[in-house]
Amino acid sequence: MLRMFRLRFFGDFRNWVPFLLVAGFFATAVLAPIFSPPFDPAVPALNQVVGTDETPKPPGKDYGLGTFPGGYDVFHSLIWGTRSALVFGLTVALSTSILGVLIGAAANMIGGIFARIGMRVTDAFLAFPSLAGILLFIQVLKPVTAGSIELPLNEFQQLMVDWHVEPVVLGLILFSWMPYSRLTFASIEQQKNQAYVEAARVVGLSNWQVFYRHILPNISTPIVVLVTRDIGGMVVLEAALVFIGISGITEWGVMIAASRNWIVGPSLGFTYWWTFVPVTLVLILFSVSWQLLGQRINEALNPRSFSYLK
Amino acid sequence: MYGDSIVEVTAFGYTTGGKPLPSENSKPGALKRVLPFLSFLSKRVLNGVVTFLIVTAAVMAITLLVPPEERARNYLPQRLKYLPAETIRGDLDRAIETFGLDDPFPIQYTRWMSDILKGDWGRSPNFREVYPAIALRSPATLELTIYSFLVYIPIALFTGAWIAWRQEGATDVAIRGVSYVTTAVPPFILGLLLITVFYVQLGWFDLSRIGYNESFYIRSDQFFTPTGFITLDALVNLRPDLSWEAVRHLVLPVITLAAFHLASLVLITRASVVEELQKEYVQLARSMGIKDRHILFRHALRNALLPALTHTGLTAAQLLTGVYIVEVIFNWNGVSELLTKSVGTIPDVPLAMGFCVYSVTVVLVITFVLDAIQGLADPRLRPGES
Repeated sequence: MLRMFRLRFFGDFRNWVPFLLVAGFFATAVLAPIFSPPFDPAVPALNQVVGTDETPKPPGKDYGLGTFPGGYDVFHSLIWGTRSALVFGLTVALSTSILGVLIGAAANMIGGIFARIGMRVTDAFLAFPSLAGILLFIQVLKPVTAGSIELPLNEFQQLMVDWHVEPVVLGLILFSWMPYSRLTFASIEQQKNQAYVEAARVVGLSNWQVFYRHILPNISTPIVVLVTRDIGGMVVLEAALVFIGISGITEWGVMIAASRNWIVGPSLGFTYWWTFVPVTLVLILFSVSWQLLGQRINEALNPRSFSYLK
Repeated sequence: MYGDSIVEVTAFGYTTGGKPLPSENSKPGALKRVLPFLSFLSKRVLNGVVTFLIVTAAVMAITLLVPPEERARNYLPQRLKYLPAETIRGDLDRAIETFGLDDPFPIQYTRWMSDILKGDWGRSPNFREVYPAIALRSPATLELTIYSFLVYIPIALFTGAWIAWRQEGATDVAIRGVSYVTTAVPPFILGLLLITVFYVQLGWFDLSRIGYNESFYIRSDQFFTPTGFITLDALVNLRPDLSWEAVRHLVLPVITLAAFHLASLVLITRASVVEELQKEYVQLARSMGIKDRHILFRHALRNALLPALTHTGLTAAQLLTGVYIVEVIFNWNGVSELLTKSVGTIPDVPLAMGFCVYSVTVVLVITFVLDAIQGLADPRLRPGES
């Protein structure tokens, strides 16, 4: 299966473009200390101060892509931001997909009333704008002070603190698993009556074994495609959240938010273009490469699938 | 369906037999004609109510993740610095007891739901009463949302059907390429670019909802506001110039919002119309000499409407998230103002809960309207045909 996929995927030169782009992002993340060495290798920081000016400085010798107000090096933040973007995208997209697949699979495999309830809940969550859910988590998990007394944390809050879970991440995961659940449910429904599933049942495998040994490999294609697309999409959404001021996880988002006042101002135009253009291009490139990769994987694994761009 | 269309042929005293010609008298009564549509709508309403209950239960469950003391803190004044610890602890316990904050989930949920239905959405430390705070800003958000829908759905359906007809032509390839690129550009970056070019450089359009000078008149008592939509209210007040001004302010945010959803809806419409055009009824219609544009827009597009509208309904929640983000970018002062102003250091759970209830309600209403349109387009549910 994997060998076949490798042959089919790498046999087409068009598949190499998104593959190399994504590989490039991974390489940048891993080799960040080489591309943009930190002043103090022991304490690498996401952003590095190279000046003291309050206005952004244009690209120069010491700072390849100029600086932000406060003297932050744009190039350094771009390179090191790849790390935070990849970590964030992979964490959120993978957790989301695991949650969604588990819910969809459980609903279908248990069946009966559970299937109906599971799908009803999935459809209900689709009507929930994720931004509202994220705001709810931010407000609920915000530390509370009550004058001179200490309010003890309960198990859930302790877990959040121990695992360093951001409310935004929790909100994103809990309010975007629905497509995975629907997809898994529908795909299992298709596979359920195939001979190989019945054979596996006859042998005496349990529901769960049938699912993860036999059905899951057969329905994984669309799920993998969806995850791949979501990795880019989640980073873009997070950048938008940073921009409106309710998050601050990915460095690229922080950069775009910081560039606002140097782009959108009276009679500014593109005088301070280096605060905005490089990071925007990188963010769009990131999202496009994951989108394309998802599309190409889809076509390599599933030649009959419909494609928008043939 | 085809049975009705077979007309009895009578010639030279002989008949083909079969059913009698349909006469005016055999038409079902008015109630009977709209009944399927009404039952469809009532099913949808019931569906929406169930969704609302599930989602609000989830909201309540999330707020119950933290201990009751933290939720009781909201009922105490903000500054507690100089109070002794025993007083604060006693007040917290009293609040827990008074408001039943450690009751089991069903009791707290029913109490909250009945409060919501009564119009008491709780008190926020940042905005006092939550319901009036949301109601005050709601028209701005709704205006933006409704205009985006009105702009992008018709354009997307028309363009999608058109390029499906001209499959693989130059227009088709070009529009598909542009759509594909547009789906990859994050809306908030598109918004920033539009602001830079059309507001900062060219000065054609403006930020915010209405100009600074006009805003005083809008907020004064002389301005009669039946709908809350400036574009419509200005017409009611016989001030078309203000209406035009409001439209000028709407252009950039609506483009930003519509672009992303327009692109994906065009691609989906195109795909389903292409599928429809391969079916036999299209060939039949063509052989009967029906005009191309009637085949496309009256037959193929209508049958392809279902997947397109379903997709729109499923992405309505995403669109609302987009509306909130665009509001912040364009200084729109809609409901998202509550969101950005409440993320300070003071926890504001009642506001977040109200925000969730409001957002879900808006999405459910949008979904219901789309369902109704779908029902009207579906001949099996349309009034007049049973």
